[in-house]
Amino acid sequence: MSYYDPSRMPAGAPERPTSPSLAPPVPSPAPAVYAGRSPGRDSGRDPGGDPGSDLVARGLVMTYGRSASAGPPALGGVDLTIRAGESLAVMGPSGSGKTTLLHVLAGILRPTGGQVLWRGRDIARMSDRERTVLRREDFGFVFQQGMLLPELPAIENVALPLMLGGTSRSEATARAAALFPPLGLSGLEKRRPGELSGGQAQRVAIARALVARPGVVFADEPTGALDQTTSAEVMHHLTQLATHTGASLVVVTHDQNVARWCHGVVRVRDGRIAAEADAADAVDAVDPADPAAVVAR
Amino acid sequence: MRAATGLWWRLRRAGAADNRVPGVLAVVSFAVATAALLVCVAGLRAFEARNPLPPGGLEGRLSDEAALGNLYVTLAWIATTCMVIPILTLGGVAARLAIARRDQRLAALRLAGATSGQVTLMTLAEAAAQAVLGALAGVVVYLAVLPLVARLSFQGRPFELRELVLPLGQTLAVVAAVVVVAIVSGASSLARVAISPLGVAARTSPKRLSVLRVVLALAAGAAWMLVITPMKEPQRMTIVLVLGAMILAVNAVGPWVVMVAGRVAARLAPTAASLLAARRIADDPKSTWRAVGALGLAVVIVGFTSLASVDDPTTPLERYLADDLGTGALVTLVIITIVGATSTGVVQAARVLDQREQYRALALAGTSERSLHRARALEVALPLAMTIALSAGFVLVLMLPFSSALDGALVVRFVVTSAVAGAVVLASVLASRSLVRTASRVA
Repeated sequence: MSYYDPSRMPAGAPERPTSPSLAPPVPSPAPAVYAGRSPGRDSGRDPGGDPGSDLVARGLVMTYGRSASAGPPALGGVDLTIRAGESLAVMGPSGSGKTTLLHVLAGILRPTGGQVLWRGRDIARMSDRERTVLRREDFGFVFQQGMLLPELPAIENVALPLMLGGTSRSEATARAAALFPPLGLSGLEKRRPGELSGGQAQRVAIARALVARPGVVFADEPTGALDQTTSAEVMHHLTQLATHTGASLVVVTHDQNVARWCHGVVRVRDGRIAAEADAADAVDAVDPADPAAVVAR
Repeated sequence: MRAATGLWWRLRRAGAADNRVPGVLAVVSFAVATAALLVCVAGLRAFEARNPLPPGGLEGRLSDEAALGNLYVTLAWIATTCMVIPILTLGGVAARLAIARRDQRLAALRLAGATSGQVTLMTLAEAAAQAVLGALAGVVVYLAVLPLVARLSFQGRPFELRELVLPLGQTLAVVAAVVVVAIVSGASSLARVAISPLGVAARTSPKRLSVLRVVLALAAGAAWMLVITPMKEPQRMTIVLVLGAMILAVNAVGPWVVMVAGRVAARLAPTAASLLAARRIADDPKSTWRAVGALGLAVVIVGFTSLASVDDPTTPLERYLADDLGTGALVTLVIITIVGATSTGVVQAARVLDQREQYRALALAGTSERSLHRARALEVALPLAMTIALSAGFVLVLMLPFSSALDGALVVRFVVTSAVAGAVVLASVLASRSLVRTASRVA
């Protein structure tokens, strides 16, 4: 079962050029087709943007340590909606709170205040255990460096999340194997992470993040350790595969070239959303210092 | 060079807590190895002092009493031979630990312009310093456990403390031996990693161990049959040498068997935890064997000595012999279990530290801490259970021809003892649970 089939691409979907001249696509609205997703998990997931499958943050506040002595909060009241199937780049200078925002959205950190709504539930109020299950079943993660387990061949690294969730080994391996060709990884299944290039390892990490067909993929500086060409290749695969599995994508990056691959961009400064743009074209256009450019939501 | 030394020192002092943990683990390992070695040597000397050779040496006809005393010394040598190899292995584990976790610092030194020779020298100096510290602590531990050892009764009377206290010269010789082992195994493991300014070489597919190991082990087995068995009264040193060679041969073939078993297990593993465990075993069969090999040997020794009974003891001395064989084997098992548990605990802790980023990534991706603990426990439990079952089964099969003489209660005691030893080694994995918790803390 392949859920990455070019022939099933939505009509009018942007053609994404392949390497070596990778260029970000013209941002499209949320994709119209979710090929291969099982009906059960898709119920209530409608390309039209069913609010049930949006990831919604309301009034997020995050303070580290005791608020009195800790200075300004890491997050100072963030409102944000990531629509189903949409990709969003979170940009901002170091220490702006963008990684904290990602961690709170992903249920890694519990916010001091506010709500994170996912499929009708407030992640911020879930127990540790529930959030662990949520991260395993509904979310996928891509880190700056693959964080692949060095002892496992690539294919087992990809199959592992499914097996941890209780899927049988044969099914997990089959589903993992299906992701290798679309990511350009054919023939590398048995390689150890130490035998892969940085870009290859990152594509294996993308496969691992998507293998459980998450609703949202969180990527923290996914190309931070890569050169521009490899970085474009990785973003191409990440956005393409997320689109075709119907997953929303949240990418924390400081690289405008990376942000251009996403449908939307938000800029975070001092724990607040400083600017928001619907199209990646606006990456350069939006000047966070210009109050007129700030879109309040 | 001065700049490099300065940087080395600053990095040392600035080391974060997780950089200090491996150092502490290495020192603890050296201490346990030294204490165990001192107890072995002290026991051996005490037996030799109790059973002096008669004036005519072994040439003349020995009285029954002298012959029996001579047997005690031979058995003490055999037990010591069995224990020395795992103890030295623990020393090697500690030295590797002292070196393995230095990756980033060593790379920083190379970036700062230190030559590869200088880096090697500094690293070995550090390993040696840890070995000295650990060995001295080991002397203290040895002195502290002496009163316990003295309560053991052999040949009808317990040891006296002064029988067991080693002269200063011999104590220092043991300390020196531990330091030398540390430097030698440190140098040999450093020779295998190229420390470039960008860090140490990444992990690739592990090399297969050669089948030559199996051939070697078979040759040693043949030597036992051909050299020792035909001898009517083999010299003690011959027995000890051939036994030592046998143990080395078993140590050569052990990792190969573990590797094959690990690969088969990895192919069949049905769950994530068992897959991870099997891959780790197949990836590093030598360290797995280090953890379980000695225990297998000890189980065999305990099996034979506790199940084989001396026929019709006539004199009181012969009656003591039957009991003493059991006691001696048990002491051997206890020491090997402690040493094996330390090895296992240290190797496991070092692995968590090495992979803490991957642990964190797994936890972020929703792996429960319980799954991480289960994979680690399986990684030790699988080879451990296999080794103990094989060793105990080996003894029981060899004893089958004499099954009419076997005491059912003794067999049960033997099986229970082996299981307890295995459980202790397994429990050593628990020591690094808090490291897993820290490494996998997501927020």
